[in-house]
Amino acid sequence: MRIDGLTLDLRERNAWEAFDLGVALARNTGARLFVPFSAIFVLLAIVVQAIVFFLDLPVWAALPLLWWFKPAADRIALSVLAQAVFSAAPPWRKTLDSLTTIPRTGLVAALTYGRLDFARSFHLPVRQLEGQTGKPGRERLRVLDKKLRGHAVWLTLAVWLFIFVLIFGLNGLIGLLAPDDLHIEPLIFAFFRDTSGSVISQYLTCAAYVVAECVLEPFYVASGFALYLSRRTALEGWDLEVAFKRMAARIEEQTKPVTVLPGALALLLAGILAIACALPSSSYAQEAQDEDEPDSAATAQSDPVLPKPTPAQAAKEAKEPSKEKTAVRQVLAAPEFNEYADEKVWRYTGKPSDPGKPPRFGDGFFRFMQFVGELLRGGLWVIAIVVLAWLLYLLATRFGWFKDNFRMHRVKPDAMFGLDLRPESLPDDVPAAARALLAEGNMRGALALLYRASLSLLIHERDVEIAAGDTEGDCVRRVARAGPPATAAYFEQLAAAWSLIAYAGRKPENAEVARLIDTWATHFTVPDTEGASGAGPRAVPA
Amino acid sequence: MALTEEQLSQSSRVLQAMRDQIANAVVGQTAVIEQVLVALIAAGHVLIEGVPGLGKTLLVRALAKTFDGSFGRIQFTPDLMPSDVTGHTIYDPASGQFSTRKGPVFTNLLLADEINRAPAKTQAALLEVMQEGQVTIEGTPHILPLPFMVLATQNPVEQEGTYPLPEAQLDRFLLKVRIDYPAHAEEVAMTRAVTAGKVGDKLAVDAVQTLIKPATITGLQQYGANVDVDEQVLDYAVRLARKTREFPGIAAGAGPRGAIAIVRAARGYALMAGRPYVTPDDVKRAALPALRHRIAAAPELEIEGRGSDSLVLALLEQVPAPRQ
Repeated sequence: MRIDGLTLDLRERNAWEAFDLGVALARNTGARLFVPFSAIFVLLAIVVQAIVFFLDLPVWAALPLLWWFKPAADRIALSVLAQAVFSAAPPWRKTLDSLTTIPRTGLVAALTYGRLDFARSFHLPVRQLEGQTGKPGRERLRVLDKKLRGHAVWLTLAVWLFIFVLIFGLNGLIGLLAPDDLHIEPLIFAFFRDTSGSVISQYLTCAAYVVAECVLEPFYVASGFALYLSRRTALEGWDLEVAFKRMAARIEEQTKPVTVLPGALALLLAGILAIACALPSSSYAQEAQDEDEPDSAATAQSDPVLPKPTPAQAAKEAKEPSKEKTAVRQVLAAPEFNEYADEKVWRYTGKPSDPGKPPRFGDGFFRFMQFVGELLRGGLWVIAIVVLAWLLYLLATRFGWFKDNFRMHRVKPDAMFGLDLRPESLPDDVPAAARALLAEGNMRGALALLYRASLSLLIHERDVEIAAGDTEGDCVRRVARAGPPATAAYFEQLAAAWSLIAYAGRKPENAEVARLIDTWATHFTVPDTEGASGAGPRAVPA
Repeated sequence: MALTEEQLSQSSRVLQAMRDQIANAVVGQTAVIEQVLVALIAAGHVLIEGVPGLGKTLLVRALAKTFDGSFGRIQFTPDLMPSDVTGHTIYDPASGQFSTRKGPVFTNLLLADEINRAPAKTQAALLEVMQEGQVTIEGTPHILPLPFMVLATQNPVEQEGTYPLPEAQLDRFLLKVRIDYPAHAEEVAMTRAVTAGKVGDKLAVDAVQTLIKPATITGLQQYGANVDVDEQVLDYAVRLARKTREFPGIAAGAGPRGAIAIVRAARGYALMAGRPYVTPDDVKRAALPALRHRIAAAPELEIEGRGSDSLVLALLEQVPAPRQ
């Protein structure tokens, strides 16, 4: 592999920048990436669908199967991407040729126990490009995973989400636009109705899944690959190496005509390069493994193995103790690195005391928040008490507790519609007074007295509620509701007689009025009002 | 002219019998039948509001049959022209003369179905006929047959594509009657009556007997006009109408026609009850149908869903009834 052939601008990137790089890489590679991937994936989908059909499984069963076999198609994407990164996007024929190597890239493991690897696209280059398997492969992944596994897992989850969005979106679109006669029910509706939908809907869902994967999976593979490149740049200083190589090439270009001391210059540059490359890699290597185990994968990583070192080569490299490490040991063995001095300092081991603690920035804020918290707590108590009281009130009104004790007493009017309705304003013997008026020929006066006395006593003695707008008919209805039937019947006759004389100017029969006067006392009794009148006269509105 | 006992009892009997006959065809809706009869006695016109299918046409046909009156119906549509209502003159080439073709208004009872579907021009033509009692075609006045009564209907639900009647024209109707869904038992009885031994769903007014002649209605109207109204009662009616102008929640109150309508309708109620005089109760009963279309509820109350009916009822509670 020639690192200086990289078509990327390598530098130390964080994970999110690496994902951006991956997306850009996939976009730039374009049809050279998407077409082979889509072709393989669609082919896979057809095969899976055929299997499902012949096994007589439900159509939707193709979805999990297709998902499970997806890593097979990923490999073609990574193969194209790797070639695009280290030289240029491969011609179609070369892409076709690379298909033959796919089965040898740990495909069986990837499709069995390795399928549930959540950092799949990040690990894929190690399996496919480095060809690392077995224990060395695991060690290698351990080193790579050290900082970036979390990001790689998040990438997988994010792509899942995008795939779901696309599937449901496409389903919804088809469901909305398809004619009703086809009875296409989008997957999401069928899902919520706990059915699997019609066969055509299931086929459409599978198609939507294939489209979603063809669109998103290359981005996923590219992002994982870019993350892998970024990790290796950090581990092995690829960016520095590329810079040195380019510098060497430039100097070589400038000094070509002179051809003085080319060998010496090349030797100098090689020396610098060797130190530049060796130092960081061995330090990371020491992180990854014990000093005493030089045969780990970390040793192998100092020698970039891309694009395709054989496993035998890798194992050989892993077993050989590196020259750089020996050189570092020699340097560290020098006396300058082996001077020791004892130094004694005082250190306080007790508990730090609070009063002496200097005021910190933000103390005021915390005190304020504490105050707000107290306020909130007080407020919540008040709300709780109010809610409790309200509930009690609701229960009390619902079941009529305290009904007798807290009964609202209606204020009874003394005068209404111009009539003095106070019981004490009535004569002691109403029938006698009415009879006297009748004898005088004042039939209207007699009936008015009877009517007024009846209303007054109904309001004050029998608690009949009579409103200002009540007509004679309304009063009769109210009395009928409140009083005994005999009183109601009597009051109806009285009101009729009164209406006749009041509104028609016609006098009822004398005998009828006399009967009303005579029977009045059987229905109404004027209370003893001496005590009330002793309280002093009350103003009566005119 | 004071009404004699005989006249009173006779009118009361006739009106009760008419009410019973109409009730044979129109099951339930007692209050609606009463209000329509009251408007007939008061020689007024009625605006009936209710959803379709509650027997508005049946009511009018049954009423027409009770007094052997003629019955006409106009379905108001957006393209209805004034001449479609009143009539027009056409040239007869055979005789070389203009002949007048009278419109459907020349009848005793006119059902103006869905009056708010016609544009204002046509509505105005009908309302003018209602007010004047005559139609002028090509300069020649034609007197309408008596009794003449318009029963206009409108649907409160479908407001799209309608031309709501302006306040001024609503004022021409004596009463606005609200026809509501029948009670359960009434609906059962109606369904039985309509379906038992009948073919199709044509309106059946066979059960209604003709009781009187149209001239009798004119006589009843005369009696109604002579029912006594005491000063106190008259004052009560006027106070009710005036209160609408200052009552909170009413944006526009009733004009003087409000009190007039109340008293006219109250007289009808009194005659129907066989009384030669109007009581405050009659006024109170007449107030709601006579006032509900003459007031406009304030917008905020309309938003709350309180219509003019609740306002009139609240007003009736507050205005003191006469007592002496």
